[in-house]
Amino acid sequence: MNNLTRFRQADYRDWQLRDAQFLDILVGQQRQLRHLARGPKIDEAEMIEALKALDLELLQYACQRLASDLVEVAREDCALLIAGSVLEASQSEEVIERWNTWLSTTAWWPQLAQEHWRWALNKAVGMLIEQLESDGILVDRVTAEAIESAMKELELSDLLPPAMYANHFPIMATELSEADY
Amino acid sequence: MNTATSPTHTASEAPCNMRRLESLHQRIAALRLQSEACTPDCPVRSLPMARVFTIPKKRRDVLVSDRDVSKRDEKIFAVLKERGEMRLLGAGASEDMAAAIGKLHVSHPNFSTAVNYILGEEMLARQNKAALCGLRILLHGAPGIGKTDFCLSLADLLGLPAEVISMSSSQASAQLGGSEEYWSNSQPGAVWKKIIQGTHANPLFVLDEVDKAPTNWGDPLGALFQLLEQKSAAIFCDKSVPWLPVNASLVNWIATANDVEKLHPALRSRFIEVEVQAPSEVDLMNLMQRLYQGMLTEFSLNERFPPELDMREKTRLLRTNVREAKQLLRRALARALRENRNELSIHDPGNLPATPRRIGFL
Repeated sequence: MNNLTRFRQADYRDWQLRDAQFLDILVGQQRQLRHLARGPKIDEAEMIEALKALDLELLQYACQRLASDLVEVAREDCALLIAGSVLEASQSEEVIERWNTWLSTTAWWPQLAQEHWRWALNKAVGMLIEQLESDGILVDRVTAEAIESAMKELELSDLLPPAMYANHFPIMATELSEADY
Repeated sequence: MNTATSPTHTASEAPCNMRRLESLHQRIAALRLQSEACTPDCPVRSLPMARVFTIPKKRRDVLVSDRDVSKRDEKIFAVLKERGEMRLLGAGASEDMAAAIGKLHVSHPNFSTAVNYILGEEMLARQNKAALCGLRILLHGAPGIGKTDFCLSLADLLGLPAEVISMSSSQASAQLGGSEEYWSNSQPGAVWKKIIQGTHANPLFVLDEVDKAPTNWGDPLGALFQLLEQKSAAIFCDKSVPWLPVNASLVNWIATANDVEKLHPALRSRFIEVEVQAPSEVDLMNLMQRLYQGMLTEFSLNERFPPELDMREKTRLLRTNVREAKQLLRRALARALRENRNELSIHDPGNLPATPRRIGFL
């Protein structure tokens, strides 16, 4: 979706947006959690008070938001890396190093990259065509469709050297090599 | 999940499953080339393309080359990957192309033998639904009969990128075939640059005054022995980039010379020789008229001056060469404008030679 047309307030639920005290509630919850995090330094009565004050539904929602943000970040980063792999042919080693750095940062990036691969490919097509056009290259509809269809065939194993792929996706790599026989 | 970073992961591992990515790289590189070569007058989207090299899978052993050479190789690799292996094939054979070439019969009537030869090649290419590639013509004849102008007009009609190399000032074969890479300032020659850094697989090279290439030192014509031979040109290696065979067999070559006897027989045998005669008196008259009309159009004076140049003035101009004729015409136009006259009067007898001489094109 175009960032210029989408309000990020859509990420929140109606009741959250309608409640004038919502931000105060969040700050209060944050204070209670900080209090609880002090652990042995507070007595039992204080702990019970702090626990009672927690809004579990809100906390659940906060975790959900964080999780969906992670997914979104993974998709966007992955799309950016795919577009870079296709566009920057002359700097393939740098692009591969960027993939390696990204995939190595945390255990869930490779997992999310696999799970959201198709979405990232779609996003990468848009990024790529936008970049080509900003480079002054006219991309007509037929060409754009051809690029899109070729890009949608890409797999992670097409973009990474085999050793790196096996390193980050050991199970997939095994399946791939077994399929060769 | 293994998140360890391995410093040994590089593209040079030549992954076998990256073909889909390579194919996309080629597609993007082709798009870039097409956009680069595209002009409002010449949409090239539909032009066919030809592979001119293959990116080597394995780079040469860094142990045998010094660091500077390796760095240079890296840069060349980057250019190769960015521009891709395919180049456009301009001058696609067609009826329109033949009609365009046929115009040279009118503009350069004394080149009819050469024009007919090119039309024959065009017809052969049309049979294969191909483009005009691999022309090797040696135009020879007296000085000042329009050989270079013919070549440039041909390049223009064919819509091919052209490069004129003056062989009389060329000092070594490096100009065409690159300089040996052991020189610190080693660089590729004109052919490599035109094909690899250019857009077309079949550009036109004009080797001007090939018979005047110095013979006392260096060998400016040396690279031509390979470049003009179809099979060896297909695997041409520039001396500056010896690890990359380039297909230069599609390049079009036209050489000009006054005296072909000065050329090595082996070199002559690689060309189709066409002797060009001086233009006839009538052709020269027509040329003067075209020069006059061109100047009227250039200065938006078509309404003010008569379309036909007066016969007496034409005859006067016949006593000059084309360069002088242009200068005299320009001065006569300027004088007529200053004196508020509507006709030209060419009178500068001081500068006119006493006897008429054969003239040609610029």
